[in-house]
Amino acid sequence: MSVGTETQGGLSLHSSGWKELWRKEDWWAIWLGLGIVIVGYALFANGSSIKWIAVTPPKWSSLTQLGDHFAGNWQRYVVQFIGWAAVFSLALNALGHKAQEFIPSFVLLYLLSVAVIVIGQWSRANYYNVEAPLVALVLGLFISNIVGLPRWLDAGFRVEFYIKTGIVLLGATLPFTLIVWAGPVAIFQASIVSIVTFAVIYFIGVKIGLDRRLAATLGVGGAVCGVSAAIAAAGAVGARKEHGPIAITLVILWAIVMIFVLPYVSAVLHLNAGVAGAWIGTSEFADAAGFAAAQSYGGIAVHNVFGGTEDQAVWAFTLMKVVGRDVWIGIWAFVLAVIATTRWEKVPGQKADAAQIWWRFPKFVIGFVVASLIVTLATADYSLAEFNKTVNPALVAPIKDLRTWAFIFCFLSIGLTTRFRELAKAGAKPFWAFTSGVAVNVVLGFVLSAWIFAQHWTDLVR
Amino acid sequence: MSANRPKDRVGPVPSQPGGTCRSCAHFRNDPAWLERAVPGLASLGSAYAAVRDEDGLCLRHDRFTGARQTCPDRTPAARGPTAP
Repeated sequence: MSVGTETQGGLSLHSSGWKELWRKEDWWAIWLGLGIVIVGYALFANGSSIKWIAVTPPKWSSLTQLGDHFAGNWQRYVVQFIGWAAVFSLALNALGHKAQEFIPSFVLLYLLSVAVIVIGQWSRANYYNVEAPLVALVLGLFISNIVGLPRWLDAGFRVEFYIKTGIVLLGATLPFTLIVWAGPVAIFQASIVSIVTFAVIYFIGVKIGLDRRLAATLGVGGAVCGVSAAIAAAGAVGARKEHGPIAITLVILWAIVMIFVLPYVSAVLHLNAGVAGAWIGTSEFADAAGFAAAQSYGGIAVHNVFGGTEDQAVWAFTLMKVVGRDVWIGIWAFVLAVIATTRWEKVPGQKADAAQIWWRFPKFVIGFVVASLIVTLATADYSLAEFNKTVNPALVAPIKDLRTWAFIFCFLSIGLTTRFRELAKAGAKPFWAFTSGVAVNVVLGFVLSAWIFAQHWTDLVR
Repeated sequence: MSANRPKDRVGPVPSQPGGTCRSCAHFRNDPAWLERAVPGLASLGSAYAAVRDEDGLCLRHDRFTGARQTCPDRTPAARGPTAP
């Protein structure tokens, strides 16, 4: 067991070993997500359900309809809010946040989420392509960049924590057999794109004169999992202090651009939902941004009858991004650390530690897989007809509704925490190196998703 | 050790008897501090994520580095490690 060190002024916070289980948000996402799944299953097994608390605004076409819904269900929303606030407070308090800052922030986030879901459920929303994730993002960006909010309110806008909790819940709605069947293709396709994207960014970056550490940080940020990957790579290669913020700025800018561009182009090309989900999974730069794009396109594809389902877009994205790309960050960091310490900067006796492959493993993926296993095994004895009649409405659908809430919290938080004027200035050379990788990534991702593996992603839910 | 070594020549090295960066006065890896120090980190990422491991910033060399590394310029922090 490791030694614990906690100091003031950001000096040194030690959270390795068993402490990780309550000092890292990945593990808290697992505890919360699996806790919901287990409680949901326990109630279902005893003839009850969590659907009472998993309330969401229904489809509506008149304000009277909407008013009647809230008049008849306001208690459910109050209890749901208290439930979310309680479990998130518990987790964030353990991570070091102050409850007195989180609660008012979460009140605002929850009220905005209700408004966003209501807008997304309007009967004419699909006609105007008003998708809830895009509304959440635009609303958040408007509030943070035009209206402005006090900095302390950021305590409740935990983008990564909400998306990880949502991904664990997503696991419960995704059959484990699907992960086993589609996972290898996702890993193969994602590996091709990741390696090519990294190589393009790195070699162009070095060619135009960037420091190798910055080029590597940019490359991994574009190739693997965005901001998280950039920070992991920066630490692994010993990047300079300014390199991390430069990579983060470029990841954020391109990730937000792609939230709008990828669904739009997919719609113009009438792509099947599964195909577009896979493309977004290979060509988005951050999990949270990618889920916003994939979920938006799922709605667009269903409304316009392009083929596929809303779930298909999200599942294909998840398999590609989370299983195909995110889980390899530890290996990327280790390999780069070996290169950095043996070729870029030789110091006698210096070597990279292979254990970082586990230390940096995105642990929430374990929760995603375990949630899928739990629900798949627990419902294995049901026929398809029984599943649709009994299991889906009482267990799977309510978990999916709670996942929707977690994702909307995340999408709003992206906008609410992205203050463009506060991002570091990237400079022309890093911009062009990264943008070259973006261009290759988007084209290669499209070719692999829409041509080479198109049938695989189209057949995903059959 | 030389206090005048060029910054670029001082890189992270494996643990030495003198201790690691974790207990160095120049090392900062508190996640809340990192999210304030690194613009955009909390927007589409997080300092509380497992992928960061225990990495932080070395203010002596202005570089990202791991808590388990050490270097010739390591300066023991006033508040050292506590007992396990």
